[in-house]
Amino acid sequence: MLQVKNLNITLAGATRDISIVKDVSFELDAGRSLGVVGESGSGKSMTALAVMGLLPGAIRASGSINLAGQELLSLSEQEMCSVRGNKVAMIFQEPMTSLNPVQTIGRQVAEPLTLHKGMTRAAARQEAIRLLDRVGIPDAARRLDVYPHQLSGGQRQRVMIAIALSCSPKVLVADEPTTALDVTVQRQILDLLRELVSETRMALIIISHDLGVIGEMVDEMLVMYGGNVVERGQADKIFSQPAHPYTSRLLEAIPRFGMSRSERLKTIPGTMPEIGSEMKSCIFAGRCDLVCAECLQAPPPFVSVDDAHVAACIKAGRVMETAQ
Amino acid sequence: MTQPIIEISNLERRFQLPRESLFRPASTVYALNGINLTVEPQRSFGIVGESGCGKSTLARIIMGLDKPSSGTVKVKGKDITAISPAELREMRSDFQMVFQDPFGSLNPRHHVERIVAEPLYAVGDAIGKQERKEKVAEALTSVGLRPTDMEKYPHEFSGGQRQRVAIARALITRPSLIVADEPVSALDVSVQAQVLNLLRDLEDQFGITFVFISHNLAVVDYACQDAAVIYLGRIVEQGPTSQLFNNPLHPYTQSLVDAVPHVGVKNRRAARQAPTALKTQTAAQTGCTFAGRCSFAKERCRTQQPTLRVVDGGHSVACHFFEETRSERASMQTAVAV
Repeated sequence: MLQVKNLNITLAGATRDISIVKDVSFELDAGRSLGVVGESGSGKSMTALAVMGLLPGAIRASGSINLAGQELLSLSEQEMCSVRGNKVAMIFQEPMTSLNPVQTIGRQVAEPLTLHKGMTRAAARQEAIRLLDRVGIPDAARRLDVYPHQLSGGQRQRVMIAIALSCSPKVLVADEPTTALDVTVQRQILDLLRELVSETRMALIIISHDLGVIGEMVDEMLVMYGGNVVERGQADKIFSQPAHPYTSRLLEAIPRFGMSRSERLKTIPGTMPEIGSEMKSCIFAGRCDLVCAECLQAPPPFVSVDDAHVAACIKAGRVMETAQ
Repeated sequence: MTQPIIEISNLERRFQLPRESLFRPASTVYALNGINLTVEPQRSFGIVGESGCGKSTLARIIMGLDKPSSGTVKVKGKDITAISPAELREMRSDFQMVFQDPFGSLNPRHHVERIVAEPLYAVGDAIGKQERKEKVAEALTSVGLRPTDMEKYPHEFSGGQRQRVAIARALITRPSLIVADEPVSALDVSVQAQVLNLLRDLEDQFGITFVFISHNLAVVDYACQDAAVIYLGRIVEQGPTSQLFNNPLHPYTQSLVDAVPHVGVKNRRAARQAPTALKTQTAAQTGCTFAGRCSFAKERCRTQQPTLRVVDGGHSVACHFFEETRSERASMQTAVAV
């Protein structure tokens, strides 16, 4: 369904091009979900924006993004407009700022329907009621005429999902969909997304820094670090047996319930290398406790550790052993 | 018995809403309603709740930044609601605050030395330039930054380092209490772990007690010994974190604990239907504030306000029927396990 191959994202600088995302590849089938995990600055949101064709002006993507046989990167902006919101749709982190505050939610939900499906306004309104009802807005017919500020954060996120769903997209990209929400509301939104995926057979890409959210929601995942994918595979396998030292460290850094008072959280010393720094070594080498001479000579290749589970680390096997 | 570091009794904070109609009286929001709590020295205290439950209002009142409508707040035995601003200012050196956003809470035009030394000016310590520099250097070292960092400006630091600067600023007056309002929410996981470890070190090293406000239950569990769960301005459950989160008794605490997403629990359906969104409490209603969202609610819950009852070992809960919810939860968990 969605096939991303060797995606590179670069920012054209005055003297040289700065590489933001390097060589990202993944595949996603209908009805499946993919999680993209990483800390701020890891390039996860840029990858999502590239799929949506929404990269800011000076930033270019190269490689291939193939959606059901259509090459998205070669489309003109005008052609992309008929894909975006129609075949691929996105929900953003901030339901407060991503809705238009001066339009009623009915109008915002109906907009893609009139635009892409050519519905009349009356038909679009009816469909908007159905969509709002589906995402769990109570009394949808009356809520059509309210403005975003009259809704709570969770309800606004539901409206965002209704807009994204309006044209039955093949791929839904959710960038930190629940980060701004309370835990109980987060639970409702995650449940809703999961229901919708199994109901509509769309493919879902969830981007999050919250490993708990990813761990519960997705089939496969990418772990990104400094613009590179460092590990890729089935989510439950990565969580039970990470093969990259970064993933393994990251999992150990999360506080869990019932840790004893004497236990300390494991931390990752140092900071992520700055975007665009040309690395001749493994990007994680500076913070890794397994580092050796070989790590510093060249970026590591992907090592396959299991069926469709790869990690960019020459010591992947050893990391997996210690993780057990 | 040692003197508690904070003692709050019958605290209320009401906000008057703007009138909606000429013919109706203006309505009142109860941000905090009958809060009683005690923080013992060197037992860091967590305050948990969803947005709008009043947890930040409580922090502001403890810091003397906001006045309660009624009730008393004693910090180290002194009622800070009754003392003069001058006295409060003097006391300030003993309790400090760390804010959520390390980008918004540091003045971008000041260098770190001035930012960190600011509380010293504020409490009116008459000390020389050299001594001040030494104190700043000492504070920076204790949070893991270099003394030379004092010449830098906030933009030269990463998010985690900025939060360290904010903590150094709180430390410089050698307080015995630090109120931290969501200190790690804006940070990445790996940085969050560094800051949480730092807070714990400071606790051990300087004997500081933290009042730690967060919506992240696992973080509170890690950072604090005791905690209170607030729902719509009332404490619904309180006790040592080990009991509170492993054996939650109040239906609200249970739904919070159940709602936390866990690594490796894929496609788990919520054991309990997550309750509908929080509403603000506009009147001192009768009955339990949580009754409208509670799946166990009975007639008595709608008519009679439950009070906090001690269960065991300092663990208390405000629910008429906690024995029943507890046994039902236990049977549900065995069902899930099977």
